[in-house]
Amino acid sequence: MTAPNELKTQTLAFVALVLHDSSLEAIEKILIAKTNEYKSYFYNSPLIINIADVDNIPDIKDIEALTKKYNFVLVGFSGVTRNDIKGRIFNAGYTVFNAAAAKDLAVNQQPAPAPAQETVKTVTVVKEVEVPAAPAQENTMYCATSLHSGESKYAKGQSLLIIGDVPRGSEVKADYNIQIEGKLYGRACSGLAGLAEGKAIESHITCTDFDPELVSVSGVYKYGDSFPEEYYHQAVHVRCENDQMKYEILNSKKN
Amino acid sequence: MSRVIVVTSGKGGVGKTTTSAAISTGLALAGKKTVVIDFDVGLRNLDLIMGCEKRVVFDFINVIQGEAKLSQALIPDKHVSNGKLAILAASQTKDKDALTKEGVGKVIDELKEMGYEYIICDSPAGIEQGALMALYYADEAIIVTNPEVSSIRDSDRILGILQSKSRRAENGEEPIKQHLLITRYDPTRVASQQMLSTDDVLEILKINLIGVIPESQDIIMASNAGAPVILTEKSNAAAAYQDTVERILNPNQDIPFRFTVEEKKKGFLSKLFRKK
Repeated sequence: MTAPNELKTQTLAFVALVLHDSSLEAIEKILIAKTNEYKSYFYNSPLIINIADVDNIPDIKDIEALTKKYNFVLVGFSGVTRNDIKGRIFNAGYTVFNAAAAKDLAVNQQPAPAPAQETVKTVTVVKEVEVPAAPAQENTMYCATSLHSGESKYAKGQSLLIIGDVPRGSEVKADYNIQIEGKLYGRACSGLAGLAEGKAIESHITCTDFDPELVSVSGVYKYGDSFPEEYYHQAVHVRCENDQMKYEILNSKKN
Repeated sequence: MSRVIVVTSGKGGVGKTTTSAAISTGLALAGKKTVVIDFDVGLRNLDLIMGCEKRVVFDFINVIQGEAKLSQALIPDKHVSNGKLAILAASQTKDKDALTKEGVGKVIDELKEMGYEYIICDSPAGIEQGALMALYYADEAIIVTNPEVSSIRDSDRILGILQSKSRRAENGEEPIKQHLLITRYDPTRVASQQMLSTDDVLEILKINLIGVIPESQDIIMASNAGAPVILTEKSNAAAAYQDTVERILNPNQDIPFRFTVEEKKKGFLSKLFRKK
């Protein structure tokens, strides 16, 4: 029997954009800088805008358009003191996060668009995190079995980890990275996020036995029979650097 | 003038893909601009037999669905050095219903415009969508049959479908030319009446015989090596496929059928006193 839905308290960490200059130009500038610096890390990342340090904010629809343009998902605002701004935020369909009164707010206000799911999860503490020095791992789809010929596995919005083999005639695809703890004898395509919009992200593929039909990393592909001979049946790491496919043997089974 | 030839059988495992690979390679070696198309969506094997499985980027379905241009999906064959042979692989991961009459027709028309003289359609087994699409636009059909009753019955069923469900049949045009290719023929077993003879098969199917391919270990070896068997030197199967290609190229020429009669086993004395 399915367990009943629950209303629970959860502690989540969000990326927060702390405004010191509320002009749209200044907001866009920081979004451009950060998305260029950490391309895949922020893709579809939930975002809270902290406005404690500014007097007023531009039209919320304009802010929303900007965050969408750079592939953030705006979920709400924090540091809001003025009631008129609070009203504008609620009218635009967003929520206001306040560390002290977050519990009440989260239960009383409309839930934010992004986390709204079957189970309503309330946000009680908003922790503003520093952007990490290196991009962290995205969510990962985990597959504990080998694929069969004709099978296709796509980790949409995620990286893919396969503990098993990818045989001839099968394919694995991921918006981010692919790690295969087994044979790669089929096709592997990583870094599909943003490809359709011409915004390739950095990605890589690793496997422990390399003999693919085709490898595509961030839109750059190579035929399975065009790698140097010494790479076959080795543990190999393939990545894309300046639109060039780079590959290296992780350890040599032959030695 | 392009000739669209479907290689079909009804029954699986009789040698359709081996035949498609061998015949298309033979035609290209004879200087004819040839393309071989795999219609077996979801169970593709032609790429393996042709040894190009690691060079498939786009496939037939990608072209039909407008995701790639035909020129991007055509894989140049590496065995035929004159550049006359291309392979259009099937998709392994998509559904066979992705093959549409309009889509297939468009691809075949485009191949004709590109100057392909022979368009070989490798049909999947069965009488489902893939097989029907492979034969729909055909001008000629090579029915691959093993000399055994179930294969013959399935071939007979396919002959009926060719006469009723092809474009030529629907439009009331001249019917598809039907040719019989008998594969896995073992004259020794025929002589000992364990296998049906070519005459037995022809008596049931009543169509023009275009080739008899003897049972041969070379075929499995060639398939595993990813090279069409017609390229195997000193192979009876290769020679028989070569004769078949000659018959396709010169339909009015009388080319005798080889390897249909049991080779006389040498006696003990003749083995002992054979000439050096």
